[in-house]
Amino acid sequence: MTAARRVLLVDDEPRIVAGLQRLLRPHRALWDVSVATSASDALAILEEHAFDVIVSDMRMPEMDGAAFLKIAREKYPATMRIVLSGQTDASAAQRVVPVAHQFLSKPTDPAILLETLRRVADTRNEIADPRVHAAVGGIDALPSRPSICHELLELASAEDAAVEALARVIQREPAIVLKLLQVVNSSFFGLRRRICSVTEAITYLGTERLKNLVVSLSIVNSLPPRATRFDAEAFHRHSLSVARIARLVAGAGERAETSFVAALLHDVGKLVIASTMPAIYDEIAARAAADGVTFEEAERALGGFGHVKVGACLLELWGLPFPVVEAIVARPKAPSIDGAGLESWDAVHVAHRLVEPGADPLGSDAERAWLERIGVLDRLPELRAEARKELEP
Amino acid sequence: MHKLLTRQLELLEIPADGGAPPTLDQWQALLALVGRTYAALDHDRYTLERSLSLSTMEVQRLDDALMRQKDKLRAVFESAAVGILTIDADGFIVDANRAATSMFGLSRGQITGQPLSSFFDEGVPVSLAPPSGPARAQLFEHVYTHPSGRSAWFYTSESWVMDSASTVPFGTVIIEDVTEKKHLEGSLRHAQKLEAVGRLAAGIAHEINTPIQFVNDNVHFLRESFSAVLSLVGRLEAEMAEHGEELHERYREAEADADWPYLGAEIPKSIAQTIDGLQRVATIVQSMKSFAHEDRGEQAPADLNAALASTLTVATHELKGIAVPVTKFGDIPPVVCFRGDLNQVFLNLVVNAAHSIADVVKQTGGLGRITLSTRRDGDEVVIAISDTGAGIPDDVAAKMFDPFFTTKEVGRGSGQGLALARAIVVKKHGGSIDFDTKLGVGTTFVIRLPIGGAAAPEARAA
Repeated sequence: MTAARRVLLVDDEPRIVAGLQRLLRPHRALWDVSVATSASDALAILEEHAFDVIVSDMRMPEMDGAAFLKIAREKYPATMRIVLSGQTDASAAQRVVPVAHQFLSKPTDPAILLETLRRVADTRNEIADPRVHAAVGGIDALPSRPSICHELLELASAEDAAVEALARVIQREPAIVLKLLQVVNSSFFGLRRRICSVTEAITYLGTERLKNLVVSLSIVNSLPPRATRFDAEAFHRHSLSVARIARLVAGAGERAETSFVAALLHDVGKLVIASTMPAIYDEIAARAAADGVTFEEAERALGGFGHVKVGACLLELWGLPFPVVEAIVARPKAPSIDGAGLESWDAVHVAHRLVEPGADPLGSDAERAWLERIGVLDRLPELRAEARKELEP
Repeated sequence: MHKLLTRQLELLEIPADGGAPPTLDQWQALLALVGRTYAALDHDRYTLERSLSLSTMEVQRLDDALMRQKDKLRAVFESAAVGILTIDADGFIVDANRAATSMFGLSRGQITGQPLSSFFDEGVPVSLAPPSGPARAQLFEHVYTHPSGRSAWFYTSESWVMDSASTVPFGTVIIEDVTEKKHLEGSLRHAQKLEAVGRLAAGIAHEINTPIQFVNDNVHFLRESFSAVLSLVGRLEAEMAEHGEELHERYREAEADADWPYLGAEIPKSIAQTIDGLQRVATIVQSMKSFAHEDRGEQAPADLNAALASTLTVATHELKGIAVPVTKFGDIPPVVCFRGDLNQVFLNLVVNAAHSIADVVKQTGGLGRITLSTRRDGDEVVIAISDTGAGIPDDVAAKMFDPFFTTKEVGRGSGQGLALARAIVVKKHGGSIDFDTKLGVGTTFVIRLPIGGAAAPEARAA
């Protein structure tokens, strides 16, 4: 049994914090609850203890939620920041997006709040290293390439900006896809479904807000990853290639979109490590080069926290749809998972193996049996041909 | 004798009344004089004749001009866009121009000879009496009921003129049909009111959401807590039953005193119902906020199933005791649209459906049904709103989308709803709206909207 996680509830209405506190009482084995009715009280409490999560109101007298969370982000980046607000309009969204990881609107279903907190606890249990949480928690956005931002802005400024054209550009940049899905899946949009598709996300966001988002991304992140061994070009090419093949493997519909996005984001953990912990990234990359093994193998050999977990940690923190996170986490061991037919993680696994340079991937008997079970074996030659096209310069 | 001749005779010293006879010279001079006199007379006559003929022509010309002027006045009278009536001193209509006849929806013959006051609803001042003082136009507002039953609003201005030839005054009445203006003002006021109410609703929703949050949290806490209390009491009782005969007996008494078996059964139910009620309040507030959505001049994607659901929630009160709503929502993609405007259209159609069913329910009792369904059809989303109302007769159906056409009594409908619905769906969204109706069975309105929204220019112009 792990120790209880600490959550700080902040709202200027004392009945709100009291109500939430009582709501969490049956879960006291999991959550150690503190409360504050003003931002300054909350900051004083944060001085005393390290917290796993802050749940804060937006509109408060003196210091409001956005200002409070901005300070919390700088001083305590490892603490997850959730906004629970009655304001759900787009302008409120714009103020909160940079400082909060997730947004819930009042009144929130207790089940949703508990589920959100449970997912935080899970990721904390998954990765114990506080360095990871500090690194991941402090990220507003991952670095995106200025060239793509420019291209997008130009495209979005056109009178008749087509969603498909925008989607084609956006899906080349994992950092933008990630931010887009975070915002669209927040409660500001009040959508009942979780959005996994880039096209759908753009449609809901609208071109005006997309432009604002891209502008804010290009301002926040002008710094490229600092790890010297990080090859941004190769990273982007690899992500997009795996994503395209994964979509082909998955076929059509919801599963194809989930597989595409999961594949596009399957390596964001590397981007996080390269940006926030460059020394660690370089060490792993050097080891992989020296031993002639994959990044993952080198990571394991060095006893690191694992870039897959780091990436999943960020996605969980930002509240991306669970099927996407699940596909990324399950991807490495997909052949050993007894799923119901072809699952997203299977599609991403197949695609990942096919675009790996090297001879005859997926050739073993065990792997062929797995491919047969998920109904991909017949299409393997055709998929392999597509993958080879992706690898051509 | 001509007085000119007499004067000349005097000058020649010829006595006009006899005396010595004139000399030859005198004769000659006289004859020359007579000649000149004739010539002068001739000239005079000529001048006279000429001026006579000139003045005859002048009279003719003036007469023509007068006729032209009169025709022109008549043409002005006839072609004026405002209605013009002339009335006599007793208020009877003498003449009416074309605009007036069309405003009244009557022929000239039906209008003239009637007292003006007979055309207007009672209770509205009609002066219709020549003022004693200096003539000044007087303005009035009247409600006129067309032969078709349609109501119209007229502004009239009367002025009295004194005929110069007689002392009998006559009046002219200028009529302006301001029905459309009235409706526009009305719908503008309505829109403004709606906007204000919408803003207010959003503000109230925000205020209500805070108490809902903590009341809900507390009730959930009570639910969890009570189940803990129940199991605690259960355990205690089991312990007592096993170990303390007498204690258990006393406990049973206390339990009965406190009505514990009832509490144990009813408290969870009361909590469950409270949670259900809160859920309903939250849904209503959410629907109100969603319904009052302000379109910010730009089309945005919207979940129309959710929009229809919130419209139904908002209209719940209108349907009470009249119809049961049924939803058959298909799997439709987000539609790029002005959601606030479409909410208005949906509400209009749902309320119309409710009114139509109400007329049937009044006769038959029993509830009707309003069915809202959605589906995708290629690049369009199809929304159907069906009622089990009376259906629409052909003559009404033909005019149904006309602005200001209404079959509802004054105050219940402005006749704007469907015209507005069509403008929003067709002009603003590039969609279509049609209906299918069967007397005694019901009516189905079908709206088709392009998923990608209206082409940019129309959307901007709207």
